[in-house]
Amino acid sequence: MPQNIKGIISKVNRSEVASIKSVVSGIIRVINDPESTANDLIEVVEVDPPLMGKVLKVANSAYYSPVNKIGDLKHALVWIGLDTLKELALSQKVYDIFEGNKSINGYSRNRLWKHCVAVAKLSKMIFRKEFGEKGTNAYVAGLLHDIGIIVEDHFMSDEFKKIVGRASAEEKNLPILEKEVFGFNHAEIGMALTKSWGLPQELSVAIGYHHKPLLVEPSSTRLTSTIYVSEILSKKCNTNYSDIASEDDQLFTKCISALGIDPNALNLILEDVRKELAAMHKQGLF
Amino acid sequence: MKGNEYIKKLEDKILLFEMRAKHLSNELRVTKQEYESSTNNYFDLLSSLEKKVQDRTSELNSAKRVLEVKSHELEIMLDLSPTMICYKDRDHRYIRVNKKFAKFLGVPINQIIGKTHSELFTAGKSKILNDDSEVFETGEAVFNKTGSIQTSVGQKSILVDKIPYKDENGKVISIIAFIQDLTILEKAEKEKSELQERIVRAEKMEAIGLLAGGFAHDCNNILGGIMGYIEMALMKMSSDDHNQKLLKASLESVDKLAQLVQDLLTLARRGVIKTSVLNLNDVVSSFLQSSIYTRIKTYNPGIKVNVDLEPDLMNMVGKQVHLDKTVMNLVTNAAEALPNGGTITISTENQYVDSPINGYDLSIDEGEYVVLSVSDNGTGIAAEDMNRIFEPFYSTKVMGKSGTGLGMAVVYGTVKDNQGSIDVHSIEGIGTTFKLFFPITREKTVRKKTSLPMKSYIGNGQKVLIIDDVKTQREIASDILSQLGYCVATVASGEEAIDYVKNNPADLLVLDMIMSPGIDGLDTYRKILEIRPKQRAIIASGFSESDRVKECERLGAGQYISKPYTFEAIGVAVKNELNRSFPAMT
Repeated sequence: MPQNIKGIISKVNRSEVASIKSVVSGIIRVINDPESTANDLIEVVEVDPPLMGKVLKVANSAYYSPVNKIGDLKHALVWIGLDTLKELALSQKVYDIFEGNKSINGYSRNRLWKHCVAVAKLSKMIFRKEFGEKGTNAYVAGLLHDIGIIVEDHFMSDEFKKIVGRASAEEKNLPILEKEVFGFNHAEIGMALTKSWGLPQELSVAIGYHHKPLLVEPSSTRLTSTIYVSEILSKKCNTNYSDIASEDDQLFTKCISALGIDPNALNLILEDVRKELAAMHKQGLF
Repeated sequence: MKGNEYIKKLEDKILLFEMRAKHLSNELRVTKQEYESSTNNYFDLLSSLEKKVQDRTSELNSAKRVLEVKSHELEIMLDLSPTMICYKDRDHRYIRVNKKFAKFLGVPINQIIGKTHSELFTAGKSKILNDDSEVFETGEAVFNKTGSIQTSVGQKSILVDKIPYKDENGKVISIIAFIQDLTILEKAEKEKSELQERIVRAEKMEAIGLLAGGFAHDCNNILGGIMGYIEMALMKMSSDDHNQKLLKASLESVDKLAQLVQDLLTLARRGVIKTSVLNLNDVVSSFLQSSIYTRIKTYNPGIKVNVDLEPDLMNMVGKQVHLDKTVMNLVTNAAEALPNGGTITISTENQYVDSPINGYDLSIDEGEYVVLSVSDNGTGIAAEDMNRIFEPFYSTKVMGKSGTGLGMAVVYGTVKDNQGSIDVHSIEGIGTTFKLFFPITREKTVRKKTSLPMKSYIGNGQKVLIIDDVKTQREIASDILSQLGYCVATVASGEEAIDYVKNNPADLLVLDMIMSPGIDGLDTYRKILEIRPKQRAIIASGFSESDRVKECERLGAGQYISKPYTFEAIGVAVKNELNRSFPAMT
């Protein structure tokens, strides 16, 4: 079944997967607009009652342990903060297409989701602790970086299952097998899809090059490298799927030196994220 | 442990601490940024919340105002409704009542609300307003229920319509009752029938008057003939003829008949006597000096007459002769009500009526009146006779004993002719009071001319043409005027008169108004004026001073005289007209 990316993307955009498009791009627009206010976010979320319900459910969970029951987004905003609320809303929406527990050779949508969340958290933490920046875009890029895998899972599931099996048996990285079977990999699908959704160029590039982070323009390397580093680190977080079977230590070392991060510092960050993820897991947020 | 190794480990630890310090300081910096932007966001959020609260508050306020206006409108509608209205809940308690209903119960609205009718009035039964279960159970309206309820001013009978008010599920949650006060309706019904009775009475009197007037017209012509011939016979007789006595006696009888006809004419409301400004005190005074009054006093020695006249009595406009008769008839009647003696009181007064009062037939309107009262403490009038006392020839007395039978009818006609009103109160065995109300005038009375001696109206050979379709009338007039020294000619119709005048000038026409067949007095006069523009004339008629008579007067005819002719009346009229300077035609 020879297919090209364009065909896949138009198929996706006619399917249910695209139902997250408007809300996801809306939230990302709010995140990237320095002039935006809390009301802008609320407006985006309010048009999606199921999402609002999920957001409020999480905001009311023991993880955030509000004093009084949170009844609306404004209350949630005051309690958990605008930036957290943005991330929460985005992740809850993206999760729509990651739902599913069916396991094949260590892969399941749920485990892929955990992987994405871990990458998102790690990337954000690197930005915050190492660069002293908010890192919300790093979080978004981390959350969406493997969206191409989900597309394969949804639209090319037979081949995808085989590839996943082979990757596990042959200890091969997923992109190599994808290239072999489809002629393109999940990073390229993700980049094309997010471009077609009109997401910021920076994000599409970070998604498209997260397996070859140094092959982009210097201005983009910091984000692509961070995603790559986080991808490798995430393997050390429990119960999570990884599309990288054999690590390229050389690339990893190049990346952290390009980012100017001491490996020990990465360990500190990893420790913090693991604790946070463990806490979230404990509260049933995973 | 070697010193180098130890130092290396220490360095590692320091490095780790440095990293932690770096992480913490970065985290702090970002958190600070987030905190700042959050603060701004909270501020935005709060101010937009505040605005929302303001918007919502003003929305609520305007909705509240609309509701207030609607509720006020409803309140006004409820209170202006001529029907009494109340709302009651399932427990028969008043939820809302209009002012009219509260007024009817005689209880302030705030004391009615929340109570059942029997809680309001523990005494007496008011089942009709206490029990609405029929409407609540069936859900159907109930109309025209009558019953009696207790109010603070006693039992009242009412008519009730009860309409169920249902919620969206069709369950009756309250009833709306529309209540009418039957006592008011009953009173209005009674007033209506009374008014109808009075109108019937007035119409009946009017019809009788017309009949009598028609009769009097013909009668006068006949009487004129009889009187004229008797007078002529008397004149031609020698004074020692014993038949003179018989003729004089028959003349007296005819005179009585003439009186009766005169009374009838009064009833016709077209009496030939002109109105003048007069004072009722003068009328009463002249009656007290009359022979009739003397006769009453003589025949009824047990009767005492009190006279109480208002010294400053206002004048009125009326017909002197009729008022004389009215006073006479009332006093005569009063005297007849006192067969065993008693007191008659005649009084006059000024009275201002400031709101209409019910009279004998029609109501007496607001205005200034002079009032003549004649009362007696005699037998009184039985209630069943009250409706008929003014009818001609209606009497409880023995016919022929007194009066013409038209006395009270004359009183009635006189009052009506003068735009007056009558009020009668009578209690059997206690007495009767008649009150006559006449509208006042502020004109002064005219001093009455004293009648002229016969010499003053003797003629001087002037030519007089008498125009009358009745032969006897022509002969009488001709005879009187010949004797008074006029040169008289007669014709029997208007057409003949016109022919006559063409060739024979006449100083004066005596023109009968109503002639048949042929043209009447007015048309005759018009034609003659074409031939002789300054032709003098007097109009004679046995009937009335009609519009056509008035038109003749406008054209230049002089004094109007009534039939039957008397020496004095026709003599004075002819003389006056001949002496009068002819008025310019208008």
